[in-house]
Amino acid sequence: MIPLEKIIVLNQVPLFSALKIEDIHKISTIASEEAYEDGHILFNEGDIGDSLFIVVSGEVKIIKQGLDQPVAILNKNDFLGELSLFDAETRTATACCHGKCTFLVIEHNDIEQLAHEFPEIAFGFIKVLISRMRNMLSKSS
Amino acid sequence: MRNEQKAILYFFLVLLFFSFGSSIARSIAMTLLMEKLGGDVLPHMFILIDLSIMLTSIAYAKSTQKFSGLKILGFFLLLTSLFAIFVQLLFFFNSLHSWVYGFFFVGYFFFYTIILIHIGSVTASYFTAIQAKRVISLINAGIPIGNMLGGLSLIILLNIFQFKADTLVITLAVTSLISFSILYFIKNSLNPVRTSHKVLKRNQSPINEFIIAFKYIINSRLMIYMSLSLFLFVIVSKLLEYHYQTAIYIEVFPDTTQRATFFATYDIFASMVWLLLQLFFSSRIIMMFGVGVSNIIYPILSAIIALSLFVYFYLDTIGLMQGSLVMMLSLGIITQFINQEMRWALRSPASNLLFNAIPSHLWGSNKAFLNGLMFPLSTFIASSFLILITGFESYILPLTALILSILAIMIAIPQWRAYDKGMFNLLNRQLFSNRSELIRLNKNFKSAIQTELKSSVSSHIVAALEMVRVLKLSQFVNQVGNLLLKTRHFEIKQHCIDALTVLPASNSNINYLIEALQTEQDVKVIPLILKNLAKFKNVNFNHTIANFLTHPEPAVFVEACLCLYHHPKFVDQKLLETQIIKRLKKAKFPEITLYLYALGELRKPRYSHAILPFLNHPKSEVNLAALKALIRMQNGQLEFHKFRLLRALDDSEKTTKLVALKALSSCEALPDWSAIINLLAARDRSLVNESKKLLKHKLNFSKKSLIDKLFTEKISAQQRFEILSLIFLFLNEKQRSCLQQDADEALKNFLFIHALLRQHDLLTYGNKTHDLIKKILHEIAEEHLLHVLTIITFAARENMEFFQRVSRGLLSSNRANQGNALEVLSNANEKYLVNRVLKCFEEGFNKQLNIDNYEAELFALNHSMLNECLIYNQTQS
Repeated sequence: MIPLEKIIVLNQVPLFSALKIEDIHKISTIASEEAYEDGHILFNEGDIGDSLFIVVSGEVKIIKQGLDQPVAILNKNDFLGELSLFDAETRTATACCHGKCTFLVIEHNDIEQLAHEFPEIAFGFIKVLISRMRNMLSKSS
Repeated sequence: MRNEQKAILYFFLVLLFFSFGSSIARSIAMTLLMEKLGGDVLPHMFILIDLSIMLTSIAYAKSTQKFSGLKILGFFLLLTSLFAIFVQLLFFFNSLHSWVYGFFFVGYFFFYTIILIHIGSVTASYFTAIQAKRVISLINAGIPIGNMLGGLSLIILLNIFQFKADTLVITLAVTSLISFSILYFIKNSLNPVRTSHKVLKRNQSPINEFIIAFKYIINSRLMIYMSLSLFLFVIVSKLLEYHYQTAIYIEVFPDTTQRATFFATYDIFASMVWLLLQLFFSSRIIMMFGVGVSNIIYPILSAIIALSLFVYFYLDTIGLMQGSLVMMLSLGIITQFINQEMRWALRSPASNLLFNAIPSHLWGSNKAFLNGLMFPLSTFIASSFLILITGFESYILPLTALILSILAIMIAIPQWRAYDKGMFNLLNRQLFSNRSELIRLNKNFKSAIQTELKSSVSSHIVAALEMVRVLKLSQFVNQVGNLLLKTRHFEIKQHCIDALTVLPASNSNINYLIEALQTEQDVKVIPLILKNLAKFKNVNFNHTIANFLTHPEPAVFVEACLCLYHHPKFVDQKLLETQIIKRLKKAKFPEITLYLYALGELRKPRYSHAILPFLNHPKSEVNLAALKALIRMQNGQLEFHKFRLLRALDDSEKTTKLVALKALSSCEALPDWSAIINLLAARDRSLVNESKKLLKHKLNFSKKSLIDKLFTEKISAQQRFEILSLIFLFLNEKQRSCLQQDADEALKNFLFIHALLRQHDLLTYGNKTHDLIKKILHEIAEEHLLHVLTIITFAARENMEFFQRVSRGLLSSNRANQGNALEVLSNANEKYLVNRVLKCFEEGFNKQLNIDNYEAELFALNHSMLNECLIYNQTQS
């Protein structure tokens, strides 16, 4: 994956929607490309979440314990564990590759360091989260 | 049809039909009342109308918080219609009882007034602040047209078709229902830009809502001025009306029939002039002068006419002028026209627009306050005054009106400022909207701090300690001291020490720090205590501190050394200097930084030789520590080291740059300012501020470089803003007009990028790089807009806050925010660029620009990532 392709993929992630291209470019430098074979478990339900996975190609099944069918199937440009970039809560489901998959992976520590260095990035995240909160509030009322 | 045109048409029709029916109903109500009950009951009727409006206002204010303006308007129109049907039935079956005519009179005027009060808010909510200025007069033209058509229809129905007046009440029901049905189209095809009801509902009683509104009003300068203006306007209006009705028209037309004929003729011509004014002048006046100034025009007109009346009647009374019926009649007509027609053509639209500067969810309660409380109160005062003044000379009334009009002008001037300020504040209301809650927090925050200091959650304790530190709350000294001794949490200890140090020096806080020093085991905490103890120079604990000179931890040793070294009672400084130098020579990273720091703090330039070798150390932390130490040691004598400091500006570490920038301020003129000017474009605010401080401090030397940079190079909007904030006042006319031309060009580029964006959406939808290119183009457009706003800000003598709020408003996707920002811009003291920006946003970037080769145009923008995207697309295809 060339750097521009990483930026194209990251630009699709809603969490980064309030960031400037310059900041997305910075995030692309800490996003690593990872490829896994069919059946690889990205994480298990109950694991501590510390990375965001963006599906570049392939399919990922999301499985909940005690349920026969996957609760969701994620495809290209979908992403998993967005909020694990901010806290270390446990994963609420298991994610398993279905067929050969490629991801862009961003680690919690890397993004934290970047946000410390460039506060605009953290501010961009806050904007997105606030806008989500507003939407939730207006829906609930 | 564009949404704006649709909204104008629909609201115009609502007013037209409602005014049509109202005009007929008003004439019938007045005729029947006079005929059946006589003119004597008129004052009682007015009191009943005012009372019913006053009482309804409370419920109305509450309902505006709960329901949308359109729903409330629909409800009122439906009620009016039902009321008219009910009255019509009463007239058929109960016409012998005269009370039904009084009931109709009061009911009609009640609904008419309440609907006219409310419809202004509903109309305004469908337009942005800037649109409202342009279109409200046009929409309001529905009222005089409706009145004229209604009057004409009534004459035809009564005289040609021989209808009886009491059978025509049903017209009001029909026209109200037609207006109601138009609301259905509005609801389905238009969306309000500003909501007048709250999205998050709170369950408050009507009285509580009214109290909240009242609190807002007494805290809002604009509302206070608006209330006073209304108060004076009503009194002046009543005085003038009484004067021309009793002192002029009765004198000129002693015969009742003659007088009635005159009124009918006056009504026809005055309504036509009113309509022409409404259509062709009102909006233009408001657009040209702004809302604030337009509100001064009406009291000026009142003052002029009151002065004319006073002069005429005064000269007549003292016998200096022969009474002339023609002159009296002319004065009477002009006074009535200003009092009635100009009120609707100018005063009402201009004063309604003042509500733009009030948060839309408060419109209902504020209007209820003005119309339900201030209006009846001023009517009552005016009536009482008229009763008291009976029998006085005829020039007393115009004289009183003149004095009150001058007062109204004096109030309209600060009202103008309050409106501009209110508009400006609206741009940032989202974050800080609930002032009353903040006030409540202030009252209880001391008990809250007490509770939080005992909390089990460390972040709560830290927050409370921060409050103690910032507000220097000495009453918490014991609680903080005990917390320092008991807690094991490093962060809490750190905040306890900081808080104790800033509290006024007393035995308590020093004793707590000393006790903590003696009992503390954590080697990270001991240096903190020592460092803070060094700030208490008037107490001598040197013997205790000296024990720490043998501590194995370097940080403890360094802080103990510095604490003793700077203490006025300590004498053996030389010993400490030698110990530090000795340790520095043997030290390894990271301890070296500590000893360098200690050496710098001694402030003895003779030790600079010991520091210089560390400036080229491979570790950046050591470099920085050495640079800091050198600066501290030289005590401002850094001329010799200025090239070293300039080199430090290229360092990758932000802190090194900051230290160098601070130190450069003590140097003479620099050979090259570019490195510092370039830092004005840094994304880190502290770097921008520090370089700006330095450039400002040395402005005599840096000015030329700043001007060169501004006019010769392509710079970012941020850098342009910062440079202009330093040198705008020194620019000559030619340079300023050059800036204006550049901004004009930037605005054209802004429009061009939007045209490219439209082309982009059409040509490359579904392309892999589509979204990325779109985002890049948006960012380029934003940069051009910021360029324009920067020049407007400085040309209008505004500040950074203005720039930030207006740019945030214009770049917001919310139309109400955009409208507010445009309204604030239109009030700014710069017209050339502002008018262009207004035009550009009003037209919605729809102007078609000819783009022959879309891809070549994108390449021509010379944006590295954009070029990369385009090349990527070419390779992919």
